[in-house]
Amino acid sequence: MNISEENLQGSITKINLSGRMDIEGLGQIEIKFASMCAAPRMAIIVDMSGVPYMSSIGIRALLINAKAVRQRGGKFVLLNPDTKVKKILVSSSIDQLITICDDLNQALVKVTSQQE
Amino acid sequence: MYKLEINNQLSEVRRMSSWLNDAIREIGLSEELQFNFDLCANEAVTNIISYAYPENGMHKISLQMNSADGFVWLEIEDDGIPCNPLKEPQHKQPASLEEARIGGLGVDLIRNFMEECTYIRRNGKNVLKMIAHISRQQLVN
Repeated sequence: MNISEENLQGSITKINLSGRMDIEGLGQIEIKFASMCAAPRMAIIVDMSGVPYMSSIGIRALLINAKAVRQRGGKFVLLNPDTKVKKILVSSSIDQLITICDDLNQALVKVTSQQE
Repeated sequence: MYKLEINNQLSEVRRMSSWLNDAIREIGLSEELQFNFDLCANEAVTNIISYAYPENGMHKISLQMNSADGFVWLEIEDDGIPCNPLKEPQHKQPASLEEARIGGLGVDLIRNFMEECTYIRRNGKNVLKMIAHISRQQLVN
């Protein structure tokens, strides 16, 4: 897997994930992923469009990082997962816990909104 | 019949996936079934490697894939401790992100993404079988 980050609008971190999010793929990026989500960052968008496959280990990584960001009062959303990956997120009810956005504008609004 | 043997190491999971995807392509399953088998096999094999051998040691895990009479199945056999993953209860929907459990989601995925799954203990081994019925639309050949 590959991971990169961009700074948007001064205070928003957009993390771009690509590749198979299985045990090996995650192993290649999990430390960087955690550090990109770390304090003092408060607005995180995880772009999933480059991830064609995810197993439960990937769900776990998303939950861990989302929890850490939310615990500090920050916002953490997923952007544009592949249809099959979205199916995994929905079947595990992750979409009820972490907001999934279909486009970047929606994601930008969500991470900068004052509402929960 | 497609067969594979892997070692009980997490570094083998990708090799297993690769073999599985090749077999599925040759059988001619749809992209959806391919994805479902890939996902469920990953979950099952990862669980076996992670939990079936508390004493560690080198062990082999055998996989077999076959299709006949309108269905396709993947059988995974290991000589680990007796363990039926299907006995795990379904996760309850957590009320919030804070309450969400981090682990144990794999078996729920197998239940949700595989049409039928059976477990037996046979000759001192765990045998997990995942079965899907294939309609003509689900065959791409």
